[in-house]
Amino acid sequence: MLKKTAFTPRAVVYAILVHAALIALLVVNLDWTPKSKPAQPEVDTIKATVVDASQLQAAHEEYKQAEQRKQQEREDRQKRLDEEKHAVEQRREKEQQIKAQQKNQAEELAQHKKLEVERQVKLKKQQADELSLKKQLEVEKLKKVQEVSRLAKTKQEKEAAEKKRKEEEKRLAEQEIKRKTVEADKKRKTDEERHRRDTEERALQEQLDAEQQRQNADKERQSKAAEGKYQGLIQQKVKRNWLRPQNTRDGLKCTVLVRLAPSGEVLVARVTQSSGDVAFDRSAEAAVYKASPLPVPPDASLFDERFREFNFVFGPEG
Amino acid sequence: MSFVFSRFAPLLLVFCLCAMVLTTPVRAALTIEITGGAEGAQPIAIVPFGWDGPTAPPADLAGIISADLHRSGEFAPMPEKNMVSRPHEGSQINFADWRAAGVPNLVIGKLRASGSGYVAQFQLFDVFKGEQLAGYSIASSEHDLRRTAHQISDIIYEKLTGQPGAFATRIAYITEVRGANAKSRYSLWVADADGYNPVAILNSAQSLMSPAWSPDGTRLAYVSFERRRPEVYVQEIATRHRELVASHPGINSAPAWSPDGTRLALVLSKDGNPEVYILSMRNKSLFRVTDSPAIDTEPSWSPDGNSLVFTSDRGGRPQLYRVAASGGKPQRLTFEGDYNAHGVYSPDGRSLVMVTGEGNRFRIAVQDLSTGTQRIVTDTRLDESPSFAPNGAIIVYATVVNNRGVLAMVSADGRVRQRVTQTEGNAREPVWGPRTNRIKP
Repeated sequence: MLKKTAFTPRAVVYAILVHAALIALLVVNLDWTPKSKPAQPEVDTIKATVVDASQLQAAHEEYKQAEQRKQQEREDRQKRLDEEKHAVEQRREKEQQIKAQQKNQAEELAQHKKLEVERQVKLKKQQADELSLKKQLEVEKLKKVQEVSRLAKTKQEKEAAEKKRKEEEKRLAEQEIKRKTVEADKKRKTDEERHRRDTEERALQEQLDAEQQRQNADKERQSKAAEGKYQGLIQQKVKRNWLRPQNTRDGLKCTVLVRLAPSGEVLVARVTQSSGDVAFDRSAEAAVYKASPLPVPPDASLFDERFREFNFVFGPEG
Repeated sequence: MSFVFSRFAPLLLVFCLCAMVLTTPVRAALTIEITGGAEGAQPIAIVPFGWDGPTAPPADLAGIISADLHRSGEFAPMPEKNMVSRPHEGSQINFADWRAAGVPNLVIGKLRASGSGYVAQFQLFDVFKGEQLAGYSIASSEHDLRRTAHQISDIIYEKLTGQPGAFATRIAYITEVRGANAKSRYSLWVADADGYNPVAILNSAQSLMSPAWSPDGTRLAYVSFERRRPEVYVQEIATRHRELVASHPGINSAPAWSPDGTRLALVLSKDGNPEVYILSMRNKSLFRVTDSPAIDTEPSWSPDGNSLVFTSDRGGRPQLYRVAASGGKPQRLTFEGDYNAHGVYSPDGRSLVMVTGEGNRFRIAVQDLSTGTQRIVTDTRLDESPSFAPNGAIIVYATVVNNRGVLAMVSADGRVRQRVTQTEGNAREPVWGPRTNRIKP
């Protein structure tokens, strides 16, 4: 990492910059010493003059004063020098500042110029954009206008079509109503006719049904009566032929299924539910056979329905 | 409730569905009730058996069968003269003829010689259905032909009533014949149930009494006075070999075999008063059953062998009592009339037959043990010693006709009474033997 950092270009740049800065500092210092030299010849330009004893005193004084002046002068000179130096420095600084300022100004100007250019470009672009936008807007507006007009036109057309359609519809509806009215009329007439016919037919049917019912009821009554009658006759005949065995327990009961020919002849008589007493069961079967032929109704349907096959229950007395 | 409902709801639903399905047919089949009707013997035609021998047939099988069935009271054999035809083979039967005659049952058969013996063949038909109900070929001998006929009667009876017949059985009885010198001669007889083929197995100048069949039908116990006092003997029928089994001081009488044949109930007065005892036939040990100052006699075993019925005058007049075979307190069974004696169990154990006295009239009565109802089945004056046939359908008893003792039979319901073909002298004390060698239809 360190190694890598040492070789980064940025570090190299920094190093160069630091060196450059140091070199710059040295240059400035070197530069400063030779610049102060031009002041020294000014000091050398001061003139020396000889003076007597009294004059010496005076001269001393004078000297002293001169010295003092000299000193003063030196000091002043030094001061001046310093000031000059300071001024130079200041001037240099100022120059530098001015230079920097100028540079800055130049940069600024350049910047400004650049900005100005950019602004101009931007402006131009903006103007162009605006123009194009404007143009676009105009195009759009135009389009819109065109669309609106188109829409208006379409709407108009549609409305016209709608109107036409509605009119057509209305016309058709009217036609339909007319047709329906005619049809309804026709239907009503037909219905009335049919209803009249139906009513008549129903009445007739009801009459017929009633007749049929009456006939059926009569028939059923007759059939029931016949059934009852033949039931009684059969019962009588079988009972007459039943010889119960003696020595049987009380309360014996058995069921005998019987199948008859239409003549009443007993085809089969079979105990289907035993009394438990063989003699009793056999006497019951024998009673049915002995009673053969059984009296049966001549009406074939009644015979088929009730008497072709039925049961006897032979039970205790009472 | 809701729990029960929810639990049974599916069941209920199923039930309802079933009920719906089952009740769907609109109208129930016609059912005609028949009640009343006459009660009577069932008609039966027994056609004389065919016989192709040169001489007269050795036996009238049809006649014997007819008499048997008639005696039961349950059948009315058709008189031979009313028969329109006499078929001997099934193929010869014209059922219409018999139907027209109103006879529901028809028996045909034939007898033929076979070697030294005979073969009897018979068939029983349901006339109305034209079906054979039974058919057998039975080998026989001249001596056994009557017995063969009785066996055929048994088969027919069982087929038509559902109850086993008891015609091929025997009875035992005593006769007393007064000789010219006024001395009586006593005999113990064994005969067919219809009184035929009587054989005397013992003759004695002294009184014989109270014969009793062993359950296997091979022996008879009886009382003999041959040693001038009543003693009990057991005699083998086939060999006539006899054994004195009770000869205690005083009375030794009224023997009765236990149903298993190992014990003999009898009456002994060896302790001073007639009491009921049980004698072991194995070791001859005695067990006293009753203990009363009255006369206890005529013991009879219940079919299950657990109790005895006996006659006792401990209540003042003779009545029937029941006591456990192991002893204990007797229980009075009869309360109707002032005399009830000689009680004997029916084979099914449900009733008792007895002699019931009313003034000087003694008749046979049957008492239902569950209801206590007593029904008198005879109409004579001096009836005695009733005994049930092994099927309980007929009772044999003795009575007096024209001052002579005779044997008679009555159907258990009292409808048919008939004298047994007679016998010489005075007959008394008949006892019906067990069923042996039965042919099962």
